[in-house]
Amino acid sequence: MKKITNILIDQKLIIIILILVIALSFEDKNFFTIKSLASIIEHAVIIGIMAAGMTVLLISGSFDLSVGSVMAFTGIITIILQKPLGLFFSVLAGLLIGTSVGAINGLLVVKGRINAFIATLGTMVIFKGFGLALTGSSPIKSTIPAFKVIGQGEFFGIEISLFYLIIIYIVVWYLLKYTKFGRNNYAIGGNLQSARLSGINVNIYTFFYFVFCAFTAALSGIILSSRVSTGNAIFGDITNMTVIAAAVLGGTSLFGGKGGVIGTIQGVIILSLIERAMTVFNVDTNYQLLVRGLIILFVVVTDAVTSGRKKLDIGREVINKKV
Amino acid sequence: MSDIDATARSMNIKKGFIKFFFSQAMLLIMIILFIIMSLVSDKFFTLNNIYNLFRQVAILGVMACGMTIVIIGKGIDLSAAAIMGLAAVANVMLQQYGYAVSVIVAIAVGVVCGFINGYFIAKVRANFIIVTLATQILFTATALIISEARNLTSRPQPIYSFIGSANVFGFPVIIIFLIITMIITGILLQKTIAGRRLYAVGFNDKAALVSGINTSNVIMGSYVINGLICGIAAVVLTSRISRVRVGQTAPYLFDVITIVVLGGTALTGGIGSIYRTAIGLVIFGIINNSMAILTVPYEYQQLIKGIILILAVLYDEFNRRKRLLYQ
Repeated sequence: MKKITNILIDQKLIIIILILVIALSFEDKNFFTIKSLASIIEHAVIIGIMAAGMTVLLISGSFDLSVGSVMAFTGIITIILQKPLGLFFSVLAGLLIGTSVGAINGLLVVKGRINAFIATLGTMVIFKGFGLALTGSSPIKSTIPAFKVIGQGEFFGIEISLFYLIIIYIVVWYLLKYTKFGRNNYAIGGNLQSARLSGINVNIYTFFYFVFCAFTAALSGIILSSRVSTGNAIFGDITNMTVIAAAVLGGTSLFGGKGGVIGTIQGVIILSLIERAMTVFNVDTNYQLLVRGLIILFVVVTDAVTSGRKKLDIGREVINKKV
Repeated sequence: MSDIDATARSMNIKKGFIKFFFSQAMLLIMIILFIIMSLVSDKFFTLNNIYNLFRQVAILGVMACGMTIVIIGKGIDLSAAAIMGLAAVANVMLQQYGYAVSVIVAIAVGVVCGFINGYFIAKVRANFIIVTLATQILFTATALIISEARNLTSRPQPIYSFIGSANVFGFPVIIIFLIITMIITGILLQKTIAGRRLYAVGFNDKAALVSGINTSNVIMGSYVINGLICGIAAVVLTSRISRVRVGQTAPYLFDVITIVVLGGTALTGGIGSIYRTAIGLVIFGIINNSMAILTVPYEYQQLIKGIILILAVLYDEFNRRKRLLYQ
């Protein structure tokens, strides 16, 4: 009996997914078609890719609020560079410039020793400002039709972007499980001081986690702008919260040292299903916003109750024991 | 012997000078900015423009007082602008039942919102950044739902618009209001037991806990007061402008944080004061006003503000290291 409850608790995300799927299939008659199921995941690709990068960063105990801005900014810069550089090099340059924002974040946090939150809040506003300045506050159109293939192209009836998602998740899963890059990440997030004392170069690793997170944001930005053939600075205003919520819903702790991408993809799918459910059940947009806020609050409170308390209470327990 | 004394004395003078320089650098920057702007534009240094400068940032200044309190307690409130938006909507929608009702409800809304933040942060001990971001979304959504996403019209009768746009002996009431808020919060922080406890908790919460301070109540209190101040700011806002839209207050948040950080209140908690925030407010006001005089486009204004925030935070970190060095 205990075994069953343990399984239920361990796999609670799968159960939530099943409940949502069942609820949706009653309302939406076309739900169980390949097309419809694929579209749910396709919808989640952009959030999903960023959530993988965010998971890596969250495990190390920091986080990045600038992902939404980086995403929008990369899309804009890619489209602007299409004319002078051509398709291939514009995409490459977009990825590079987007990723370099992560380098700025990393430097500010590691070398400038600024709180990750305030540094990324700053870059978030700066790059949103850049995006607005470059586009003159209005959306810009892509002129090369082939650009659409990156995000909208199909392969056996499934969008190519889905494969990016799968590749990213396999790569991150492998990195976290079998390489120094990943194992040291858990050490840093678990206890920064002991990681440093045991000889891990904390600064270099943290720097690269920021770079990686921005890379995923840049990739999502290119996919998004390719899908809609438009670059717009106001894309991704609330994206950073959705991405963090997906990762934390998947069991990655905001306190660092815990989590993984297998949970994250479940979190992404749950959020995507909830979005779909709100559309299917015709929820008013204002109430949709309310639901999103409640989900984030719920997720962060559960995280605090399950994993945060333990970490924070270590000091308190020591005090109580002495008294 | 005397040689060593002389060296020691000169070291002391140097130390003292450096200490003074780093503690008052923002004041110097403020004066320099002021002089530069007076030279650049003859429109800047006129009584009218100085009043204008403060009118533009008065509401931000009121909010910055609350934000200073929260940041000294090693927190931050990213929902401040959303609380203000919700309180403003509540205020405008209830104006038909009389201003007394609407003002009281607006302030009560602020307190309740602050209480929600404080509960999740201090009692449940969830991450304050994510909690306030989530409540930001919640409060905005609530405001959208109750206002049905319409533009609302505030009807400031003369008696109500007194705070926002009247003058007393040629001096704008809104500036008097700002100064009073600053004095009250300043006294609260510097002269009361609760205020001193807040500094202790922000500086080192474990030490504060061991010395018998109920840390979670202190933190909770800081968020409630911030909510209260946001409610008051909403009242000032609605008395000043006649059209209220929900998303309108969102850009205030970033400006408020910039003001507090610019003054030198440390995001690491325990360091800061209303006096510093006042200096940050004046610097921000000068920059804001001069960008308007020099007609910088809106997008670039945002960009410049973002860069200023980053520079202010970098400076703060640099300052902290220097302080440690010369202590």
